[in-house]
Formats: sequence, C-alpha cells, structure tokens
Amino acid sequence: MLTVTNVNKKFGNESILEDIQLEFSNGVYGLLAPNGAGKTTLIKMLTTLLYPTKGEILYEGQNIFSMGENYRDLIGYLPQQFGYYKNYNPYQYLQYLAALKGISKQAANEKIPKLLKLVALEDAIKKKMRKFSGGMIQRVGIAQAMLNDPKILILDEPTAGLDPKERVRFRNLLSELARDRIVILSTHIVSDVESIANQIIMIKDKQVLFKDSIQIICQKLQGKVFETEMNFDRVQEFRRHYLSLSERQENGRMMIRFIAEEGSSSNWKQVNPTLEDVFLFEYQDHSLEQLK
Amino acid sequence: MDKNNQSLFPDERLVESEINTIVVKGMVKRDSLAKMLISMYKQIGIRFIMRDYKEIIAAVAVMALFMYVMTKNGQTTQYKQTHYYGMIMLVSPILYMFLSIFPFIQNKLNETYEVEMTCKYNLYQIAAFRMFSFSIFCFLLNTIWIILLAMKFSSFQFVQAFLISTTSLLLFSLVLIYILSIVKTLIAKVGIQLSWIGINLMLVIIDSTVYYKLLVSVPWYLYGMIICLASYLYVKKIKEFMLQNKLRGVNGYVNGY
Repeated sequence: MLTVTNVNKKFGNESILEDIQLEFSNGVYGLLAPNGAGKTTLIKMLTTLLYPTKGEILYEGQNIFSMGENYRDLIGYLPQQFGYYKNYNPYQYLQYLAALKGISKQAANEKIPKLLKLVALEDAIKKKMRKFSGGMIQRVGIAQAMLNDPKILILDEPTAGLDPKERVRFRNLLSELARDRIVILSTHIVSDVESIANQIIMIKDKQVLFKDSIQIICQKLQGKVFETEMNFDRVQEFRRHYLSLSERQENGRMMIRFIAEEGSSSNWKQVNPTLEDVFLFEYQDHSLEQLK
Repeated sequence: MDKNNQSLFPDERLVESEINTIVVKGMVKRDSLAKMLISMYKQIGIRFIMRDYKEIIAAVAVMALFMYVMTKNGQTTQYKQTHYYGMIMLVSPILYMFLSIFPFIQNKLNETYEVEMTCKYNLYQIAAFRMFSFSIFCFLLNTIWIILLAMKFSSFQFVQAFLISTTSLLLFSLVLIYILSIVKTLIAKVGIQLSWIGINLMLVIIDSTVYYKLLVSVPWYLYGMIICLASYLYVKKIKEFMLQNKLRGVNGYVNGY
C-alpha cells in the first residue's frame, strides 16, 4: 500500500499542495484536475523527483525517500514530457532503460519485443525515434514504464498524442495491468479515466476535493442535471441563469445539458450526472479559462 | 511468579538474539566503492554507461591531437618551458570536464532527465562511475603527454610537470564532484567549471612567466600533500555521492533543475 500523509508542497513562498492524505492499493486511480492544479507536483513526489515540504509518503510502511533505489525499482513512470534520444530506435532505447532499471540483458531481450507488440510498435522496432509521431513516442513511453513489471505504475497525461483507437487500447491495457498493481493516471481529460478508474481523485484549491468511486462522486449532482431544447435566440439568456455543461444543435434547435438546483419547467428532462458534469461544475472558472 | 506467567516472557538470551536478527536485517549494507562500481558495471554494462561512446572517442581524439601538435610544434616555434607548465595546469582537466559534464548536457537537451532519474540506477550514479573512470583515463593520458614532452625537451622537468598536471586534474575533479552535489542548475555547474578554465587561461595569457614562477615555487612535498589529500577526498566524495543517490533518491536536484 502507498500512503500519502499530511503532505504539503511549496515552491518558495507559493503553496502548491496542502494537507494531502491519500491511500493507494491495487487498482486504477484517476488523478483528475485542470492544468495547474498540482497533479504533476503530486506525481513528482510519488516518484521521488520532489521532496514534500511537509508530511511523508510511505510504501508498505517505509518512507519512499529512504528506500532510494529499492523504491525506484518498484515504480514505472511516464512523465508528462517524455524525452528520448533521437538517434536510438525504440528497441535500443528500451534496452538502455532496462539496463538502468537493473534488468538483465537476457530478460530485457525477451521482454522488449513483447512490450513493443503490446503498444503496437512491432513494425517500427528498427526505426529511428526521430522519425516517430507524437503518438508513437508516447507508446514507447508507456512501454518503458512497464519494463520492470512495476508494482506502482505512474502515468502523467499518458494519452496526450494518442488517437482514439490507441486511447481505447491503452485503457484496456491499464485495466488489465491494474489487477495486481497500483496504477495512478493523471489527466485533465475525463474520458481517459471514466471507464477504467476504480477511484477518482480530484484536486481543488491545493487540496484533495474527492477520492471516491465515480458513482459516489456523481451523486453530488444527483437531481441537478437536466437537458432541454430551445430556440437559438433564447440560448444566451438561458446561459446567464444556468451553468451549461454541453450544447448541441438538433433539428434546427439547441439541445442544452445544464445544472439547476431544481427542475422548474416541464420542458426540462432530468438526467443522470456524469463525471464530466461534476468536473465542469467543480472547476467552472478553470473550465471557462481553458475554453478561451 | 507462577509457571504460566514465566513462559510468556522469553529469556534474555533469546531477546538479544531476536534484536540482533532484526538489526542485521534492517541495516542497509554499505558496499565499498569498488564493489558498487563492479556491480554497476555488471548490471548496466559499459555499452550503456558509455552510451555516448562516439562523442567520447571524438573528444579524446581532439585532445590527443592537441597534445601531439603542442609537442611537435614546440621545436619549431621554440616554446619556452614557462608556457608549458601553465598550459599543463590549464589543459590537464579539460578533457575530464567535458567527458564528465557531457551526459548532463545531453540529458537536458533530450529531456530524458525524469525518466533516467526514476530508474534504479539514476543519472548521478552513472555520472559518478564515469567520473571515476575518466579521472584515471585522463591521468594516464596527461602522464603520457608529459613523458613525450620530457623526452623531447631536455630542459623540461618531468617530475615538476607531473605534479602540476596531477594536482590540476585532482583539484578540478574534487571541485566538480562538490559542484554536482551542491549546485542545482546545469548552467551554474557549467559556469563554475568554465570559470576554472577561464582563470587559468587568463593567467597564461597575461603573464605566463609569473604564472610559471608561481607554479614552480610550490615545493614538491606540498604538491605531494595536495595530491594525497585531494585523492583521498575525491574517492571519499565519489563513494558518498554514489551512496547518496543509491539510497536517498534524486529529489534534492530537481527543484532547481
């Protein structure tokens, strides 16, 4: 079990995270928050790249910073900015990282082709990575994170650059992997975690806002999410009174999904809230800023 | 105390033996430097420790060419020996500096820092291995150069030049390992090293005769003492550096990176 206890992180005088308390056991954890909320800072602390200003992070009761290489031996990490050596092909790069991870040459040579096949790069084994697309680089990153069969797999924005088909394949892969390990997946894209995460962790105002299953988190908006149809000329006025979650044109009219404290019109249809609704509701200002 | 109560408590010998077992199991075994280096060599292999072997070969070739040209042209241009001692002080650690700092520059340019730092053997552990190997290699290369100079110029004092070269290399190596332990940013790391080169270059350019007098005025036993002390501190610091990164991780370096 990985435990984060009373963790605070400051850069100079600026506080990034405050009083973070989390517990991770086997399963997929979706770390969901807008950009700049502190996800990467938390991830970097979990990978020993950053020290907490206060508090501690324990794995099976031991401080991860005291465990040093024994802890690093247990983790697989895909950073947000996954760097690579351009003159290497994926096979060479994975061989290099396998050596750094303390994996024997023989074991690496057996494992690398399987991993490259798993991320659908078996046809590009000998191709120089400088010729790779963003999605292909990301897939090499996912493969390297799994090289040492990690007990804790930490992925920071792993689906960036992947096409929809690759995203689905990646999600299925994570679900499979999470049966006997901790998988922590940081993202600001709700659909990345909606179908696979056992628990969602949301960070807001430097603190953990939720750490619960999607069902329980969605209950927060139960009875408050509605859909309605209206003429285009009424939309602007409607938006002034209600938080619009999504809008689409249908048969020359506008279909709006929105939040209201209670249903006040027969024209409104109450619907089940989704994780995306909660995300948009909780991060209203952030969402608007990101849309601009 | 009745018999039942007595059997609940183990005797003192058993308690002590249990404590010893727990302590032995809990203690982190501290390997010797040689053992750590051999273990890294076996686990990672020279192919990946010297991942940038093409650049290493190129740098060594350039330095060897420079040394050859300096030795060969000395006769025709009639270099004074005053130039040579200053130049030896200046040149001795340059190759070492380049070879040691190169992986950090590559790492920065390719943005591989985070991935490499979260591996079992991180960038700093490999850097320490490389620095130790390169210090021995550069010492040998510098010594060969000095032997060639001594063979060519009768006025050239081999022992004096050897002491100057070894002192320069060791002091620089010691400064570099401390820089890597303390200084956070790559620019500062490179800057401090370049300033070492810059100061020496300035002294050679401004008045090589004065610099020569300064270098030869230091008695041999003082050079010897500096070499012994610097060697001891260097090996000690390399071991500390490797152990620190092996046990504690990398977190100290990232904030300022």
